[in-house]
Amino acid sequence: MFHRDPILVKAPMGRIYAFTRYYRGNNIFDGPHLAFPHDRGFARERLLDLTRHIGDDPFNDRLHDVWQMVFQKPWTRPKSLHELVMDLTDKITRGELFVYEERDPDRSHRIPIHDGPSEGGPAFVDRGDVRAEKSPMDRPRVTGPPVSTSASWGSDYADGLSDTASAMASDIASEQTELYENTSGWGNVMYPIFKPVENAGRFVGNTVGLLSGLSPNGMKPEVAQYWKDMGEGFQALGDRVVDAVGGDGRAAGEITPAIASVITFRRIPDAQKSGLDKLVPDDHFDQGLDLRADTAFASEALARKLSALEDAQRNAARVETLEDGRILYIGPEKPARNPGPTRGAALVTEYTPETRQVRQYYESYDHNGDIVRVHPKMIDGQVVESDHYPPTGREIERN
Amino acid sequence: MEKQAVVRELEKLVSQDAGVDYDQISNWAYKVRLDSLRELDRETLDVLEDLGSMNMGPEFEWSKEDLQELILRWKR
Repeated sequence: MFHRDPILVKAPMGRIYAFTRYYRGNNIFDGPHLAFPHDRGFARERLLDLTRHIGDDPFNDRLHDVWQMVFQKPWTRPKSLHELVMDLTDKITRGELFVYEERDPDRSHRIPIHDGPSEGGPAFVDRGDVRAEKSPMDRPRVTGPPVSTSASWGSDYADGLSDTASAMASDIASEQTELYENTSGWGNVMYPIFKPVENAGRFVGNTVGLLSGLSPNGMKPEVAQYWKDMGEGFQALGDRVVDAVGGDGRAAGEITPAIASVITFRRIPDAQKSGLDKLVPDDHFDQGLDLRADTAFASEALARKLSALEDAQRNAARVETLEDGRILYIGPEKPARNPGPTRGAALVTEYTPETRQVRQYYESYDHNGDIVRVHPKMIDGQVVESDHYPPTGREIERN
Repeated sequence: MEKQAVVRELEKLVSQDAGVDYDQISNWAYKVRLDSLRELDRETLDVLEDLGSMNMGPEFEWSKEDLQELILRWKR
């Protein structure tokens, strides 16, 4: 009834994930490599990516097999794709399910890295023997010193490392320049996003140098593959960031919570306003009722406040930090159901770390992504009955 | 609140003689969602979030048929 452990699932970019209930260790170079860190948001997004990657499994049967493997409930199954993803995310987060990355043997230009001898296969695979003819793209950008060392190999090698670090920083810088040039008007917004990436590029470059320096015979194939994959990862991250800030900059849902937790948007000062700041007068929706702490209502409100904040942090599509320290957890944008001037709406949870105040409101966007209306809903767990800002047609008629 | 109770309450709101009151359903959906964040499944919470935005403008309004279909789907 139950499938063997591990279950292999094909993933985008030629990856294969092995889902297993058993921890095999985590070694990015020489051994099993955990593909999903125990971060809830990251795991969920990776699983969602898997469900979107049709491959040869359009109905996600393999992920359902994984579900059965960990839950062992043959009489039932997740009611929806969403439930499937969330169940598996829970298991990964709790350390009851591990996902290891394996290489797709169908992709001959990749270097197979085996977690152990395959069933019926040789006990050890010499990676050097199975490697296909390398294309220039596969070739590591840093090669080690020649076997027969000359007197000047040390300085040549150091120059090579330095060139590589520069080349990586240069690649990132040129992409950054292109983005600046092609997305005029968003330079200010993108700067704080790409600046850390640029710095990370330098860090990567230096780390490549360090790792290569540890290997007197040049970069190990596993190391080269690792950095190649890192490059793809960076590229993928870049694509997501560009998606999220491109155009109107409000493609909510494109920035994953995991990425959002790394990249916190900081707007330029003159745009340093939330929907509330822009549309709601200062003295409205400022504070909830002053509840006595010992009342039953106060404890209910506190529970609601905490669960709302927790839910927002867990499921935010985007996170923005305003200049005064307030944090906006912006939920996935819900598209409008009917045609009209408004494109979509999202539930926003605002948290002020200084005062620990939590406010929640809906905001809607026009087709340019500008906030056009907000509807205050909750302050510190107390539900607010409020008109919209600006009022809707129905409210105008009623008043 | 359990999902069955949510369905029952929504059914009552949708089947009122006066027609669909979007403000009423929207406020109800938001409050139920807020009160049940730790009890309801994510899919239900997402739909409630959707319903909660229904009075943001006519673009977000569900038709009565869509609401009835949702109730039927939740009942199954």
